[in-house]
Amino acid sequence: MYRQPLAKLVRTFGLGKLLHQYEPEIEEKIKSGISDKEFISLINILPLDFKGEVENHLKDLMTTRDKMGVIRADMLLALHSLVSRLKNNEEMLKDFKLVLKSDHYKALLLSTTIVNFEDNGLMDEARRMKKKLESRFRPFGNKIYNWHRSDYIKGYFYPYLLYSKAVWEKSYPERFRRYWRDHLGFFPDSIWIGPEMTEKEIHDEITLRLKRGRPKVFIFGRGSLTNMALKASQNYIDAKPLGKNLKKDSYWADLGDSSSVMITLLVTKPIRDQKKKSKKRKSKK
Amino acid sequence: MTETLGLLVFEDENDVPKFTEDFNFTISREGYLTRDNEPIVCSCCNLVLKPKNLGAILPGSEVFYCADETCLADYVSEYLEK
Repeated sequence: MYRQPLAKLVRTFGLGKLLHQYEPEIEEKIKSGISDKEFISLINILPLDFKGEVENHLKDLMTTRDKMGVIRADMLLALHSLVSRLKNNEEMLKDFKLVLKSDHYKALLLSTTIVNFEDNGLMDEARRMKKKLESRFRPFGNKIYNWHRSDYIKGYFYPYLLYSKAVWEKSYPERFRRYWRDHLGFFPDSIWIGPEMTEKEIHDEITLRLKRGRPKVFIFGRGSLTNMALKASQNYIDAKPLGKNLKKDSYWADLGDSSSVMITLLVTKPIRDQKKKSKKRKSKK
Repeated sequence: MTETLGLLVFEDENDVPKFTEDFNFTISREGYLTRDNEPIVCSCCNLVLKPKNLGAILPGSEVFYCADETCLADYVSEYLEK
């Protein structure tokens, strides 16, 4: 469905099947060449972040720095989505590119596209891309997507990257790569429920984090896994010894065609103190 | 000042032969895109390209990509470098 208006636009301005001589006036041509109705449908269909810059985005797509580029029409949407999102985060992504392994960086870019699709309601596109991400960048692709979806890339890793850069200067890429790699192995704050996880595994993951002294643990579940997340966290509080020290809070969000939940397990009584107390008791005996 | 810029958007594999000359491509008997008798491969996943799986050519370069969107990440990564 989305191809039609874009293909029409491309044909209208002589881009399809032709080399186009781009001139700055093209922006005016685009503005005057599309009726308001078509313009609105184009905005609705394309995953744009801001309506006022449609022209600039089209210009970006057309800009080939004095040379010719070629792309198949059905790939334009993904390209457009990626470029439009990247333009907003260009500096951040360039910083990541300098330090991440190539495959990890590519997975990060693809995750960006998927998140952009989801945020704009293009769920079929998002699902298709996510399957590709998972199969191509196994086992880390899905983890990087989860980080992105839960805003950890911007709010957690990027601040650390900037901090590393300021503190360690020359050695920061290696240090940051180690930090990233460690987190791919074990993410200390959060658990993302996967379809293959059992309740016992979720409980083990929670215990592991609590024993490492985390002040709170976030549990993310999506779609059919929201119930699993809620049930597992409640059972942990009800049945597990460490559960007595936790307070639960849930935050719901809609992601396109499915709901998702973020459960916060807040530690109300430090786990370490308990150990000290039990040691004291033993010594008294 | 006028810049000379271009993006060729093609609809499907039937359009590919129309611009093969611009890139000195030939289509081999087996249906592969070749140049100087060398097969053209996707820069990202090394898939040997045919008209039906050609996805993109990076502007201003001879870097080719297949029609798999996961390879677009590579495309865009290069794009940002420009």
